Amino acid sequence: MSEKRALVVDDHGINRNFIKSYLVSKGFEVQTAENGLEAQKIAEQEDFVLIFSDIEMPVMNGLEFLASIKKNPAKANIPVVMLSTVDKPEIIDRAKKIGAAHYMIKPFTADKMDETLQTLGF
Amino acid sequence: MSFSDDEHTADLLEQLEGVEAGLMDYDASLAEGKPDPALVHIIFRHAHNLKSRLSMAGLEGASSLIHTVEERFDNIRSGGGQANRELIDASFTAVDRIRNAVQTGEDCTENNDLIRQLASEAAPAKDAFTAIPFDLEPEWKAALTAPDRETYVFRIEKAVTTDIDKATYESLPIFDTVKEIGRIIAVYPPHEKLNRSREEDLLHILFTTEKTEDDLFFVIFDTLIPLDIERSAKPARESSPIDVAPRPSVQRDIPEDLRALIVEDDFVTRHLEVNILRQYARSQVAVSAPEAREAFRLALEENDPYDLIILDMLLPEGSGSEVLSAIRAMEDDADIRGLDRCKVVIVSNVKDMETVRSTFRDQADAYLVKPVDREEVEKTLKRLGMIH
Repeated sequence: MSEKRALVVDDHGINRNFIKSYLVSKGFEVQTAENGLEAQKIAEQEDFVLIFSDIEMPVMNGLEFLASIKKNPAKANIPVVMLSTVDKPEIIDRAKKIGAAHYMIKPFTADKMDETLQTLGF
Repeated sequence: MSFSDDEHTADLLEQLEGVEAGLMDYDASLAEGKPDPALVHIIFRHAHNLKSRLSMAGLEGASSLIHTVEERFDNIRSGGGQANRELIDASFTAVDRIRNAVQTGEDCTENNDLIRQLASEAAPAKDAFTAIPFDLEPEWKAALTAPDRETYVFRIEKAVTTDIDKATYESLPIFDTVKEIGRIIAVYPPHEKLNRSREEDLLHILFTTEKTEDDLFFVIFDTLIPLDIERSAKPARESSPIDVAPRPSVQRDIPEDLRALIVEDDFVTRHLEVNILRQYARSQVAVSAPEAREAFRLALEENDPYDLIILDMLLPEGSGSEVLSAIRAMEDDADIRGLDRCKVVIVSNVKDMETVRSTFRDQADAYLVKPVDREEVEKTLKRLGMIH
């Protein structure tokens, strides 16, 4: 019955579960996908208020997925939080320019997740 | 939000094994003289995952060690180069140290020497083409390495999981993205040739585009490797301007009796056609509709008309159909009729072919679908009785 639906995209099970259980504890209903293409298909059919996506993934990586969401007028407004272990400014800048709402450097703690949700107004 | 230590340790060791297996396979592929770029991606990804896991486990020394490995392989991945022996050996040593740290819980320290060793320069690929793990038609290769090509050539390396189904693999959104910005030259491997002994393999897409690497920064998000002439082992030859139809360079082995005009604005296709026709005809090229009409008029005036015209349908400043009508009109005016008329082979893409055929039934002599290949051209010329 939750109104707050989130999509978590990561090829790594432990990461997916970590974010998922965090979001569930905050009252989100969570869907997961293992790569950008799977996520793209799910996002086409369902509505989400928030998306978390890893960058390094096979088949369709996070940036390609992010760009596809931002190109779709019906989905472009969904805030997408990018997750990566890479903290290079040029990569962060690239993600932001494509339209990422936020960029989190892995590994992160539940505190960082709190901050991110607050920043995004959840 | 915490996970059991066992789960963490198992995951750490799994990632570590991924790096190690990747290194071993890469080592073997290097020994065979065919370094496999898919393994560079695999090593990178496992190292990448490992880095944050180690940091989470509080093993910062081990994390910085694997971070260096990750960076080295990331550079190789994005540069289209290959790893050298020193890097592989140092990476194996790093894996051993990290495994020890994970198993004992004691972080690795005094890593400076090893990090320095890891940072030693990776050998760049000799020639961007040697990094392509599949054979390219000689004509394509010649066209793509030509010093005067107008388009840029890139290769995309996309990591894919090998359990991907055929339909999904063949309709990945990346193909549409590339088609929007350029032209696909080659795709490898076909679905049935994905290396299923691994979880991941690499899909390679070779394409030409008028866009630069900078333009593509917000379009292509996979590894994008430019195949520019600077990096090719071949010395750059002097380029000739191609905005003006060049005079043919007549060589002794070229038949003197057949004269062809190639009308094509796309550099790669044009180069390919020139190459294919080289042994059969003296060829000249035109890159726009007005240039083609002018070339034909001049040839008639000089009493050395073309025997064959290879005509692209989509041209700058006009269309192939306008050129064809103009040519036939000039022939009518010069009282050139029937079999004496120049043979015109129309080149078009599949989408337009049916319309083209029905529209030009009376005016054209043959049709070719892009991408043009040697076998089809030769078959067509034989059918038209131009070669034997």
